[in-house]
Amino acid sequence: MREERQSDENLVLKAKRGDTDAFNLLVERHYKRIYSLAFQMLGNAEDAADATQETFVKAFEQLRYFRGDASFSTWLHRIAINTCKDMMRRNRSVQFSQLTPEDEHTEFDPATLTEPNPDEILAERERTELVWLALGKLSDEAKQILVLCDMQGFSYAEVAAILNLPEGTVKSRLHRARNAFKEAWKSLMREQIEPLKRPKGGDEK
Amino acid sequence: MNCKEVIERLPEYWSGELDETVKNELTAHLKGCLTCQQEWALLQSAMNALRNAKTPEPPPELLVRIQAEVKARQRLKPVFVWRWQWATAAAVATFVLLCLSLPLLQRAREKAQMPISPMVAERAVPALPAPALELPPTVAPSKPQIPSIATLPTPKERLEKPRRKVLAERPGSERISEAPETGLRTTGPSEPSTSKDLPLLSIPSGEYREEAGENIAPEISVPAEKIAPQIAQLPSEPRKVPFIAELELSEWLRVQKPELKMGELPATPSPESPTGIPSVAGAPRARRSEGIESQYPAMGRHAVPPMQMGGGQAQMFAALPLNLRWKGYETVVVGKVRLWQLSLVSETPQVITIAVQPGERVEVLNAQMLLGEGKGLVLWRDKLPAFKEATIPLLLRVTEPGARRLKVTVEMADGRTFSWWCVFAAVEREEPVRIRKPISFQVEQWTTLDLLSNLAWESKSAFLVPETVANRVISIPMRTMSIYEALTLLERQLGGKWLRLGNTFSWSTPVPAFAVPAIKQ
Repeated sequence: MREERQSDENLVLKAKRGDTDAFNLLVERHYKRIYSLAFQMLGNAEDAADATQETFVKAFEQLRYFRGDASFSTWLHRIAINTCKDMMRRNRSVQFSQLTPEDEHTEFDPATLTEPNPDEILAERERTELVWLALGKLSDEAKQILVLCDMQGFSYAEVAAILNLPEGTVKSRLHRARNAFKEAWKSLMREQIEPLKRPKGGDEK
Repeated sequence: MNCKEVIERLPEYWSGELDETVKNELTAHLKGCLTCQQEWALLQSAMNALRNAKTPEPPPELLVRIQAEVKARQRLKPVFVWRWQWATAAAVATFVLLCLSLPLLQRAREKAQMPISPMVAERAVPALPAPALELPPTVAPSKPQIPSIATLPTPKERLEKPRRKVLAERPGSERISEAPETGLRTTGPSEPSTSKDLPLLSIPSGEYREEAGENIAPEISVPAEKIAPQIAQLPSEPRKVPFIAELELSEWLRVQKPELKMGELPATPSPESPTGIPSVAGAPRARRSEGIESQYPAMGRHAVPPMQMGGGQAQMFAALPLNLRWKGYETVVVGKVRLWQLSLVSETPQVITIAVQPGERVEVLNAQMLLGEGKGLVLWRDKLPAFKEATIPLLLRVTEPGARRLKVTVEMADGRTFSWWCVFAAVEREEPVRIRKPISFQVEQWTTLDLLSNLAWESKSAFLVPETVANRVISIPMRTMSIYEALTLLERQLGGKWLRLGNTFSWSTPVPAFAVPAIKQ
């Protein structure tokens, strides 16, 4: 379309005036990104699609409150994050094994991983599966920050704007989240690798 | 540094955010500590996996789904109510204002007759409305003229003139243009009393106010002929509501090459096809069951055209004049917007209307205009550009589970009408399809449509049949049979064939046998 080159701000102005086409252009521009964010947060395609839809519907309905303090994309991501969190809260009926807080990291089992590089063992697809599983074990807070920083690739400043937090908080939460993710990853690796090791004779264990 | 500290700082180490000294310390520790090495390796592998994890592409229909939902919301927005409310508010305000300011008006007129240059008036007026909001009576003399008819921005005008200074400019004056737009022309002067929270509508205000100022000034002091041209300039055409189906169809329409189109026409089975009992299908001698119409009173009958799909003798050389096929179909989940795509292949593209009749509890979101009682909603109405195949998007939302039906009617320029029934099942949640499921019959006679409704529900599949076939009565043995058996039974009795694509079935009718030799020669 010809209008493709218009800036988001322009389109937002038009959309605010009731121009649905302008809003649709915005949807077209951003829905893939929002979908990927939702997928990363929710871990499955159906919920991600629903969350994406809900995000845009909310954005459409609240557009008039959008004052342009942040960019439209930031604002949209904020809505998306909140939508996903709502959805997770709704979906969370049973499982949520909160990960052990950092201070419990001390006990290590050196025998856990004897293979030098567990990556080689797992095919890429399996690894991706594991990523979703590991993310699923994190708290919402940790998950959102990991998704935004490490998967979506936003800068600290952008994440701070999206989450409405000071940058320092974002950093410290991110470090904690990365450690938590590593722990989740470790326990999953253990589950994955143990069965592979056993036939060989249990190694050091 | 002990292990605990090291491990805590590993993420920063990984992202390279540590000071040089801490970093060196940490590196040194890592060299000598197997445990921490392992943690470090783990962190690296975890972060690499996280960063490289691929997110799947969104489902192809998601965009359309979102846009449809947005449009549906747009329609739900009580625009009319809003305006009506504003109009009322404006009317009341005007009345109050007039009462208060009648004596003042009198004086104002006297003042107005005094020589005021247009320039002065022009400048003076824009400045006034802001205070006017709070203090109507004192400013009354100049204020009542503000929103003259001439200032009414038509929607088109709105689009053409991006507001320039709205945000920067006098926020207090923002809501001026709204009331006039509601059509309350006689009560123009009232708007200042309207309250503050105009959503959406309030945006294009600053500019209008200015215009208002420009236009009003002459009214005060200049003879009327000066106003006239200004009024004339304003586009006065009625508001054109963007027609959803129009937008979508134009996006979806694909003009295809003839050879592609022929590939799309596998529907016409050769006369020697096993089930091809010629001449049955196209004939407009369909008997109608009483059942359907009493069951679905909302779906009025369409006039049976002289020639139905695939049957007309005049069309025998042109294969099928029109052919409707499934292109994409998704199981309809209750409460969710789902996209269906039907492909309409036409030899002679003089289609003028494509309409749907939604059945009970089926909403077709991309259809808007009402065609008249019992005639359904227009998806498209115009002369379509020359096309061989048009994709008709149907955006559906169903409110309750069950077998549902829709009728798609295509009207040609020469007055012929072709209709198809779309029969499908709306389910609570995405369920696996089991087409081989057994189905049992307690009746001996049924119309095709009723049978299909049952089959659709049992198998969660969708069916598309031309109306002529849909209303034929068929006989069924009273017993349990598989869904395939039931479908075969239909093929035998109706002389056509099911084309299956996933869990959707389209009915194709054979061309009458005598037409084929003519084509060959």
